[in-house]
Parts: sequence; structure tokens; C-alpha cells
Amino acid sequence: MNQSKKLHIEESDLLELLKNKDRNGFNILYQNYSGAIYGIIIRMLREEGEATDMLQEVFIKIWNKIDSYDRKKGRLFTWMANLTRNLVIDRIRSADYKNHTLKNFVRDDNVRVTDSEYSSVMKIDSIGLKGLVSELKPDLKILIQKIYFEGYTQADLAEELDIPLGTLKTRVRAAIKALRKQFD
Amino acid sequence: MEQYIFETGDLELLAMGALPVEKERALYLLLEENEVLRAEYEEIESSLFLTSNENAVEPPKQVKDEIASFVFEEVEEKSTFSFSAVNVFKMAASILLIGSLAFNFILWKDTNSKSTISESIVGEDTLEDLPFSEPMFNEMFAYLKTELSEEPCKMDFRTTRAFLSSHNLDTPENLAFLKDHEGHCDCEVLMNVAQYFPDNKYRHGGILPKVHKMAKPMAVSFLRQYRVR
Repeated sequence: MNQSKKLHIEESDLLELLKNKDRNGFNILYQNYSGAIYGIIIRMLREEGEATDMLQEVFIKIWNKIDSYDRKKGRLFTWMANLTRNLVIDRIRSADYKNHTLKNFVRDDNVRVTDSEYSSVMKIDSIGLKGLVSELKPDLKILIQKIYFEGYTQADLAEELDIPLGTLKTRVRAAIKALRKQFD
Repeated sequence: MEQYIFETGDLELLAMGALPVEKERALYLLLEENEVLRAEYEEIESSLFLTSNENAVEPPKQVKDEIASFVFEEVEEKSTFSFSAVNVFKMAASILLIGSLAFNFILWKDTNSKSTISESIVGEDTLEDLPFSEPMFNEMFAYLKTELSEEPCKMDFRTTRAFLSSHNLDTPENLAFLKDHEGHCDCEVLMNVAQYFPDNKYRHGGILPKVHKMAKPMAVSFLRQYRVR
């Protein structure tokens, strides 16, 4: 998505507009965040029809639940991204979606539904990561791909990669550190 | 809640939404208290946001309009009717206002109607059936006004009859006419009978108190304002 299309506005001002259910607030929200949100959804669901339905659901949820966003807990996008992942996971776990051919993974510490024939590891290149993150070492890049863009829990990913939880955490920290260094 | 032990990578996992809920809560509390940790967390958030933007995928064009039509129709529906306390109060106030206006309109129409009837009665009684001429009535009222301002009403017709006698009008019919128009003594002739005349100068809005002796100072004071200069 073209970055120049983004509209500059202070996050606090945007929040004020959203809380007042202002149409400009909606336009700015969509213009600035829909691409990034859709990027997460499409990487998790991997089908355009499902992903666009989910994007609608996510934005309606954001619109209706904006009052529950707490600035003390982080920036608006972090809240929206977490809300998105949770909604997508709920969708994947829903009864009608379980029969869908795209079922592949459910982020849950107790329940894990993995379709080995449709392993998400195989799908990395089909959607792929762009930008600076793609320049990270593969063992670091995959962590961001799996956790941030596909909704894995740390425990599930540690198991899938067959590494201890502590090692996974250390690698995640290293991955983000490397990413930060690149953006600097 | 179990004691939380901060581990390497927790801050990153929190920003990625991958930390268990119990740890999330504990870490948010730490972030509120520790500025250094908070600054670190914001840096991580920024990096992830930039990464998300770099990996953004443009959604199909029609999605925005579909979402907009849904959310704004919902807002409009909500604004059309909502049982909030403020709206209920507004509705009640509107009903009261409309009721009050309707009541006042009815009252105004009723008053107009009475006024029309009253004017027609006055017209019939005074202008067509007067026992003597209207100028003579006016002269009698002026006389009564002058005399009563000097000597208050004695609850009889002595001053009225004095005037009528001096004009050869002291007849039972004339006195009956005055009594029929609420003139039961000198001051009532001045105050009550006079009000039947459309351009009466003596009307003050009502009948003088019936207890004449007690009302004497008030009546004198009132009548003095009509003294002919």
C-alpha cells in the first residue's frame, strides 16, 4: 500500500474523532490502517473472500469498541492488531470454519488444530514478508512471521520449531532488536 | 495472582500480542510504573507498526464503502431513536410544551368567544334598551364620581336618586334597570353599571367590596383619582 496516501493526524485527535463517531475519523482510520490490518488478516486466513469479510468485521469491531481502548496499554495500532488476531483466531475456531479447507492453525495454549497437509511453514513464501523484516536472518524472520502475522502463541511456536520456550523468547527479542536497528 | 518474573522477550511478545493474559496484566502494571521499560515498549511497538506498514496489503476497493454504510447506518438508526434518559426527558418536555401551547390556544379562543358574547350583550342592553340617553348616563356617572369622592356611599341610592330627580328620571323602571345591571347602591351604579358602556371611564376591573364602611377609605382613595379637574 502506498505510504504517501496516509493522512497525518495525531493519535489523540484521531481517537477523539472516533469516539465522536465522526465520518472523517472513520476515513482516516481506514486510510491509515486498513492495509496493515488486512496484511495480517490475509496472512492468517490466506483467502481473499474470507479476508475481506474479516476486515469488515474487524473495522466494525474497532468502531464499536473504541471506548475500550486504553492508551496506557500502548498505541492504537497495537490494540487494533491484537484485536484483529483474536477475531481471526475466533473465526478459525468457529464451527463453520472448521470444515473450511483453509483451516491450519488455532492459537490456543490448550487446543491446537494443525493440518499437517497444509502446514503454515509451507505457506511463508506464498504470502511472504516484504520490507526490512524480509532482510532478517531466516530463523529470526520466521518468528515475526509466525507470531505477529499468523497469530501463533509462544508455546505453540516453540513446540513447532522444537526449541525451548526460553530460547524462543531470546530469539524473539533478538529479532525485534535487529528490526529496530534496521529502522534506525 | 502468581508472582510475575520478567523474562527476556516478554516485552516483545506483549507488543506482538503473544503473551498469556495473566502475564499481560502484570506487565502492563510494570509499564505504568517504569518509564524506561515504557520507552523500550514504545520503540518495539513502533518497529512492529513500521513492519506492518511495509507488509500492508491493499484491500479490495468496495470494502471501505461496505463498512462505512454499515457503521453509519447503525449510527443513524441509533440517532433516530434511543431510549436514553436524555431522550426520554426531551420527549416529556416536548409533550408538556405542546400540551401547554394547545391549552393556551383553547383558553385564548374561549376568552375571545366570551368577549364577543359579552360585547353583544352590552350592545343590546346599553345601546338599544337604555331607559334614558347615553349622555345622560355619562352625566350621572360624572356626578356620582364627584359626590362619592366627597361623601362615600351609604349603601343606598340617595346620590343616584338625587341626580335622577333633578332630571325628572327618578322612576321605578330606571332604578330597576340599574339593579338589573349590578347597581344596588350609589357606588355600584358608578362601578358596575358604568362597565356596560363600551367607552366607560369608571371601570376599574371589578365590583367594590360589599362591606362599604370598611371599604370606605379605599373607595375614597380610588374615586379621588377620577376627580374632574
